[in-house]
Amino acid sequence: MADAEGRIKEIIAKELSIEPAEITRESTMEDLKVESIDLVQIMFAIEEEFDIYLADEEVGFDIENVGQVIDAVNKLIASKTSSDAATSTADS
Amino acid sequence: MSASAAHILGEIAEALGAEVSGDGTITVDALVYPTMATSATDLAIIMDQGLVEAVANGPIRAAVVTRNIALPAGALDGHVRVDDPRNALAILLDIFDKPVHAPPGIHPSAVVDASAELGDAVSIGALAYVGPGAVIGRNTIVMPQVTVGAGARIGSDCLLHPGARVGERVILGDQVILQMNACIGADGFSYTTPGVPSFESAKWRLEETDARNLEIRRINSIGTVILGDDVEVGAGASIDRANIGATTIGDGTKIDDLVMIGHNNRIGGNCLMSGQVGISGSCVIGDRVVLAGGAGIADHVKIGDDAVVGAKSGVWRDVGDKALVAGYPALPKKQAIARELNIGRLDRLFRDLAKMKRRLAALEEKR
Repeated sequence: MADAEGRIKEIIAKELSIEPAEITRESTMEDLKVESIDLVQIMFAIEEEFDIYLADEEVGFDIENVGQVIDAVNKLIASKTSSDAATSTADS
Repeated sequence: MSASAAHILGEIAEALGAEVSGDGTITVDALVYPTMATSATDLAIIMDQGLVEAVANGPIRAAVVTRNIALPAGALDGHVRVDDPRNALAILLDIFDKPVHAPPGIHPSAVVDASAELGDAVSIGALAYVGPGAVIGRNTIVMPQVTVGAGARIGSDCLLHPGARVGERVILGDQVILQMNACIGADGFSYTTPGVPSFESAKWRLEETDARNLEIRRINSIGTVILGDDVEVGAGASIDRANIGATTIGDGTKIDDLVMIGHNNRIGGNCLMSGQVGISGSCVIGDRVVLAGGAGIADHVKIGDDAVVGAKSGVWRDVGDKALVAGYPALPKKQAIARELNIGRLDRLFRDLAKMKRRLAALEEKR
């Protein structure tokens, strides 16, 4: 899952019709001209892609930059992997 | 583009508060987008990098260009850089305005009552009607087929486009613009029934109405409509008169096509209402409120100053000053967006829930 960053940038780029290269960790929602309704679509697409709920990491509509989203997604993926591992151990 | 009066690029730059790069003596007579240019006397307005190519290949010598757009060297003989393209467009379209055909005086086919008072340089177009006791201020243009009811008072420098209706006793401020077929001062939609009408009890009952709308009795509208100065009302929009008193619209408010404003509303100044907004009745709307396209406002609702109501919102409850609301029913924007996201999440949530139920059942079987 090292490439969550790349996939997130691709999702954001697709929703905003821009190039992934234009997005950095430091890009703010204002830099990217993200309107609220774009943010809904971006969050929804990220949740689908990684099978997570961003609300679990309290990622809301007040996020400042792309880096925050990437960190939250990585954290959610990590906790999902460990809990899946724990469940499969319990199942076996 | 049909050419209008000639202008010098240097003078246009001055009006824009900017300077010419290159030749300021170029004469231009039409304002165009680069792709529309047909003549060396066209002035292009370039607000998009994608349109620059058309400049290089076209006949254009002069342009007004947004600051951040890159121009190929030597593409133009003269150009003017601007920071705010919308503001520049407003100034340019004042310069290149095409005034309506409205010769001063009364067209022979118009009917103007002998007791109507017309100010200096008023123009009354063909087949227009001005009723008894109506007053029309100086320089106001009343285009063909407009009707101005008895006792209506219209300020100076107004422009009433063809087919606009100004009802009896309606009052318009100065510099008011009514677009085609705008209707100011129709009767309010106002009726009563014996006992509590179903539409009132529906506000608190949940199962059935206690409908007793056996007789629907008309409530007359003897009030009027008052529009402040610099109000603009779009084509086919309608503003109904009050039962008693007046439906009022404050100075500077702009109303788009097909907006419907019911009776007894009090609307502040400098508001913006986009197409198909509907305001039922007896609402109080503050100053500088923005109602985006298709927003609907229930009766007796108050909306605070500077509030922005998103497109297609359904506003059932009061909205505070500077509030941002969206959706149906309208909620504060943060909540409205969360609602949209959560609705989108439902599909995955149900799948997750089904997965968890299967796991739980399997675990219970094992015990």
